[in-house]
Amino acid sequence: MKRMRSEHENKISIITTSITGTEDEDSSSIWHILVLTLAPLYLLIIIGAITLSLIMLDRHAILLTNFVLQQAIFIVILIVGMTAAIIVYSLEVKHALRKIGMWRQNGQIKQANFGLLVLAIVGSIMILPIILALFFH
Amino acid sequence: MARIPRSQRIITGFLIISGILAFLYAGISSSLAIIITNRPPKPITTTPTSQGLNYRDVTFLSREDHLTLRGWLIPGILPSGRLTVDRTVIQVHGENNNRAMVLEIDAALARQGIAILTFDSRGNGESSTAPGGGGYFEQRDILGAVDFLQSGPLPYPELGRPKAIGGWGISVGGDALIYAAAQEPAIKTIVVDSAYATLAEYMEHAFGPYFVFIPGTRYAATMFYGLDYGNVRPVDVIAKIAPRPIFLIQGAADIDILPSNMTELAIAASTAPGAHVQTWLVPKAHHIQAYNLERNTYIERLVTFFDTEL
Repeated sequence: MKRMRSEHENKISIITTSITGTEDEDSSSIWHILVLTLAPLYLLIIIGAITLSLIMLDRHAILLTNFVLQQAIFIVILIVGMTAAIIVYSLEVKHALRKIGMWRQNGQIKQANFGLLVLAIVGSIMILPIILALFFH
Repeated sequence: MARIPRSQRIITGFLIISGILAFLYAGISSSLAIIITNRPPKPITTTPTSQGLNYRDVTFLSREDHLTLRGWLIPGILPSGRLTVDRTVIQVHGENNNRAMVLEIDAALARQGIAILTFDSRGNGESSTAPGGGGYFEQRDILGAVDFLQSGPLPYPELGRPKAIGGWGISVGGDALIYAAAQEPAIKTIVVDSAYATLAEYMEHAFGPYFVFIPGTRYAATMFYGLDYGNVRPVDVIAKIAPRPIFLIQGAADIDILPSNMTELAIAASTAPGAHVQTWLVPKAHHIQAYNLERNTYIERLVTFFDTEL
């Protein structure tokens, strides 16, 4: 099954390689790489936004006079959001790295390098708040 | 199996490390925001009876967010022995404390004919559970206390209502009092002991070597509780209290809230026309220890101030 899938992916890859060369396809390939390698970041942003929105909703929907309930719900949302963020980040990074490895195997070195560069930027953006906090607290 | 190039291995390592650091930072900052704003209430282990005082339990609501607050009303005792609430001081305790914090001094004031309304601010003692705001949210509790004294069901109806209301706040209670007095003219005079000038400065000092978590904690507290540390600046509102008198007390050896905080507050308060500001820097006193170190002088100065200004 695994071998079949691998052969199938190779075929797709060969087709992709054979049709590259025109500008349109180059740009669609860039978009494909960006969508794939930026996924850990934008999915984190989406999960973060949903988590914070739910926390704000909890804060506004439940009165402060019922703070214990408000706080309990808010902590559950926070834990679930954080766990989801960690899982999604790990899976997406793993997926992007596997894909990059595949491109490299198929001789698509430029795509692989570009993908790695975008992933390096993702890593830098992840660590940026801590760097900023060190200097602008 | 093709060999993974070095660049990919480096970037993989970088992504793992940056991910771990980012999630740790977010987790620690969120936890700190929760811990700082939610402390388990300290139990009340004594009552004014231990000081031989007459008192009654009171319950009132905070202004604006209507939290239930519980406290004691201790009437002042006139030389004739008659009880009075004509001059009432709202006493506001510090962080993670309760209404029994300074009962001895409450007793000394009561014996000078000054009534005391002491209560547990939100999240403390027997009052409603709620996030602490480093003095910012607690201003609503003091304003609720003013409303209660002015129009609530007082437990000594025979004594009438207070003719003059003052305030005495300790540490973050002092900051809450500055905020409350700045917007409530019914508070005629205040005594503030060991208050910070800006919460951000206090946080910076409190976090010490862990300062890197300050922005994350601040952001988390803003998101979770609507409390932006950066905007809690009693130093910006203290001038609004003038011409009502202010008495600032500070321990010279305070390492939690540095003496420079009192200087900043005093300078800011004095900029208003007609400002009336007194300060007392107590040598060798640590945070909120002035009354333990200089007990008699503390009581004497407090009584003299309220006697003159209230």
